[in-house]
Amino acid sequence: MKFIKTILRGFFKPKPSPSKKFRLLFFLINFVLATAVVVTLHYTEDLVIFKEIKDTSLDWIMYWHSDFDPKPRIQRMALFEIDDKTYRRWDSPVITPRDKLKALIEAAKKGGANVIAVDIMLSWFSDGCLHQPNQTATCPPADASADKKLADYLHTINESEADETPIIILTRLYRPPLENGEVNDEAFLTKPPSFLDEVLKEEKNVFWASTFMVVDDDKMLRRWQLAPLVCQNNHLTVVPSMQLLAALAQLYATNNSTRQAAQVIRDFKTQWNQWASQFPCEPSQGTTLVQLCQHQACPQFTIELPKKARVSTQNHTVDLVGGRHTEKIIYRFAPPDNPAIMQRSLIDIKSAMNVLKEDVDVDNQIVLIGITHQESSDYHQVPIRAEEISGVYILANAIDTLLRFGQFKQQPFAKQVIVSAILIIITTLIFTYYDMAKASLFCSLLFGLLILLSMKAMHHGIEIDVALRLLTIQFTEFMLRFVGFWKFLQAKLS
Amino acid sequence: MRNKPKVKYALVPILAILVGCEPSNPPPEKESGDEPQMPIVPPSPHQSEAHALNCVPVAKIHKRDNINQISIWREGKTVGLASRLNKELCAGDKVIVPNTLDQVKIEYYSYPPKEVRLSAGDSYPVEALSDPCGVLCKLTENIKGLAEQLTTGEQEQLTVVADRGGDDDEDWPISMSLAAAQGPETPFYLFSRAGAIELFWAGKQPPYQLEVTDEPGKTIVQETVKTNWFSLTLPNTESNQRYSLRISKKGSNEVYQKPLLFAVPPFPLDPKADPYEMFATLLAADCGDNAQNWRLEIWRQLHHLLDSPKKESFKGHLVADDFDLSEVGLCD
Repeated sequence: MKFIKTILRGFFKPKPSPSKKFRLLFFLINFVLATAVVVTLHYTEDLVIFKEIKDTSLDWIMYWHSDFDPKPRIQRMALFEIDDKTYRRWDSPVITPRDKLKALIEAAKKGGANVIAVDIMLSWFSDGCLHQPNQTATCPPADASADKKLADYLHTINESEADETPIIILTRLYRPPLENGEVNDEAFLTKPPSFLDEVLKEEKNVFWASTFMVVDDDKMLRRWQLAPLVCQNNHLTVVPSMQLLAALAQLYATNNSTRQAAQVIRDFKTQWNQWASQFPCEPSQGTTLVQLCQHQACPQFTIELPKKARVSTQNHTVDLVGGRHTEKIIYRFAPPDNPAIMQRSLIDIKSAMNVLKEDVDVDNQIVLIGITHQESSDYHQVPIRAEEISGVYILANAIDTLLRFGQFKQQPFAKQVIVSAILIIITTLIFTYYDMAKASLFCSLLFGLLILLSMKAMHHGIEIDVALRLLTIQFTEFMLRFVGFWKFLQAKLS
Repeated sequence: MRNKPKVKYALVPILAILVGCEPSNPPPEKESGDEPQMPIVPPSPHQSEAHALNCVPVAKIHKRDNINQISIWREGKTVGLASRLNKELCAGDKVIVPNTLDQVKIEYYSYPPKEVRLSAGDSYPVEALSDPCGVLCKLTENIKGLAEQLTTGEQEQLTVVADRGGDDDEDWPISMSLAAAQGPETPFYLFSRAGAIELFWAGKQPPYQLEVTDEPGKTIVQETVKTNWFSLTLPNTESNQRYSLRISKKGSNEVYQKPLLFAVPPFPLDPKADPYEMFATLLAADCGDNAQNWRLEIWRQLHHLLDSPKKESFKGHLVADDFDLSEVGLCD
C-alpha cells in the first residue's frame, strides 16, 4: 500500500517551477493558448483539412460502434437481393428482367410490406434503350410485354385506394445534359424519359425518388443528398431521396393502412415542386437547396418524422436545407468482411431467387429490392467495412439513420461552450503543472474519455467534436516545448 | 472491381476494455429427438398479445394461417401462442407445432439466411447465432490482418540482414533496422529469461566494438566482432533489468547506442495461438504515448520457428520496416 502511495505521489507531483510568479504566468499563457486554439478551430471547422479530420474521426468511432441492435429494438428492414446466385440463374441479364422485378414487388406486397423501395434504375426499356417520346429507339426491337406488364401493375397500385396498398418508391436515371457535344457537369441534372412515365403521370402511391450519393475524395461514401434539385422542362424540381420517402412512408403508415403516408408524401412533393418550378435551370443561383435558399425566399423545408412503436422511438425533425453535416449516414450494419458461421444479421436478407419460389413474411416492414451481385458496379467504400459494399446497403443505413436520429445533429451551442470551457481549463492545468510525458499521459486518458463520450453521443445522433481541439492543443504545447519556448521565457524574465 | 480486403482501423487495446465487448455465443448442442414434448397449454387472453422480448431475437415464425395454434416456450415456461405480433424467437426457445398444423417455417436472422421447416407435432429448440462482430472481434480481425500482411509479400530485403558489410556501408553510420528509426533513448523491449538475443546492424565496416553495460554502468559484455551480427547472452534478464547496448566501429568515437529493457509481455501469451498473430499484436504495442518496441524480441522469437515462407516474409518486413502501423489502422 505504502509502495503504491509512493508511486502515486511521485507520479502526480507537480512539475517543479522556480516561483509562483512563473507558474501563474505560464498558467495564463496556457489558458490563452488553449482558448485561442478552441476559438480558431471553431471558426475554421469548414476548412477542407478540418472537415477531413472530423470525417476520419467519425469514421473511426463509427467503425468501432457498428454492428449492434439499437435499444429499444426497432423493426428490421428486409432486403430482396439480386445476388450472384439469382443473377446467374437468370442468365446474367444486363437489365433486371421486368417480369422478375414485377414478381418481386408482388411478393413484397403479398408478404405485407408497408414500403417497397426499388433501388434499380427504371428508365430503360427491356431492349436496353431510353426511348425518347415520338422517336424510334436505335436498339433492336425486343419484346416489350414485360415492360408493359410491370407498368400496368405499377399503374394499378398507383391508382389503388385500398388501405393496405404499399407505398412504392422507384428511382431512375438522372444525368447532366449534353451541350454542344459535351457533357456539362456544371449544369443541373436532367431526367431522361422512363418506360413508366406514361402510367405514372400523377404520383399517388408510387413515387419517384433520387439516390444521389456524395463520394468524398478518399472514395468513401459518407453522405447522401436528402432532396436534390433536378431540371425538368427548363424548370427546377425537387426530387426527394429514396431514404427520405421510405422513412416518411413507414412512419406515417399504420399497421392497417398506408393512406396517411401516401397523402403526406403527395403533399410534400406538391408543395416543394410548386415552389421549385418557378425557377429556371440556372446554375449560377446555386445547384442545391441550401445554395438556392441563400438567394431566394424558401418555404419551410422541415419535415416532422413522428415516433412510431417498434420503428422509431422519438419524434424527429429533418431540415432539408441543414447542409452537409446533416446528411451524414451513420452506418450500423453491412455484410461482414469475414462472416462467422451462422452470424446474426441486422437486416432480413432474402435472395430474390428464393423470394420468387415461395411466400415471404415482411409484415409492415420496409422492403428494399436491390442488386448485390459481384458484377454490379454499384459497390462503394464505407467507414465500417474494409471491403466495398453494395449501394442498397448504403440506402438501408441511410433509412436507418433517419429512423433512429432523424438527422445527424451538431451539439447545441450552449453545450459546445460548456464542453470547450472544461477542455480549456483541464488542458491549461495539465500543461502548466506537469511535464510533457505526464501531460501526454493525462491527455491520452482524456482523449479516451472523449472518444467514449463521442460514441455515446453518436448513439443519439449527435456529433461531439472536441478530440480535434484536444489534439491541437497538445500538439501546440509539444511544439512550444520542443523549440524551448518556456525555458527561453523563463530566462528572459529572470 | 472490388477492393481487396485490408486491415482497417484499430484502437489502443484499453479502449476495447473500456467500451466492453459483444461476446459470441457458441451454438448450443442439438437436443436429442426423443425428448418428451411439452404439453400445449391454452393461452390466457393477454398471452396472445405482443410480448416485449427481453432477449435478443434470432429468428421468427413465418406468418401463416392459424399461426396462433403454435406455442412458444421460453426458459421452461410458455410465453403463449404465436401471433402476428408475437412471432419472434430467442435462442433456446422451444417452438411446439400442434398435430393439426403442418409446414411451419422458422426463419433465422442469420447471415447467410437459414430456414427450418417443422412438421405437425414437432418440438423445435431454437438455435443460437453468433453475434455480429463487436469491438474485441474487430480488434482480433485487425491483428490477424496485420499478421497476414506481414507474412506475405516480397522477401528481397532479407539480403541486408547478415552480411559482412560492403564498401557502401563505410559512409553510413551504424544503425539497427529493428529500431524503426527511433532515438537512442527508446529501448528495445524483451521478454525475461528467453535465451540469447540475436543482434544485427548495418553501417560502417568490421571490426566492431560491442559493449553492454548494466544500469549502474558496469560492463557486462565487451567484444570485438568481425561480422555485423552477434548472439548476445546476458546474465540477468529478470523483469525491469535495463542494459545499455553500444556498438561502434573499432577505434571510432561514433557510437550507436540503444537501451535493452526486460519486461513482462504486454498481454498474456497463449502458447497455442498463431505466433504471427502474437507478433502482430506485439508490433501494435508500438503506438501512442506508451509505445513499446518489441521488434527485437519478435526477431528472437522468429529464430525459434521452423523455416517457412511466412517466417521469411515476416523477417523481411521487420527488417525493411515497410509497414505503417497507422496505415493499417493500428496507431489511430
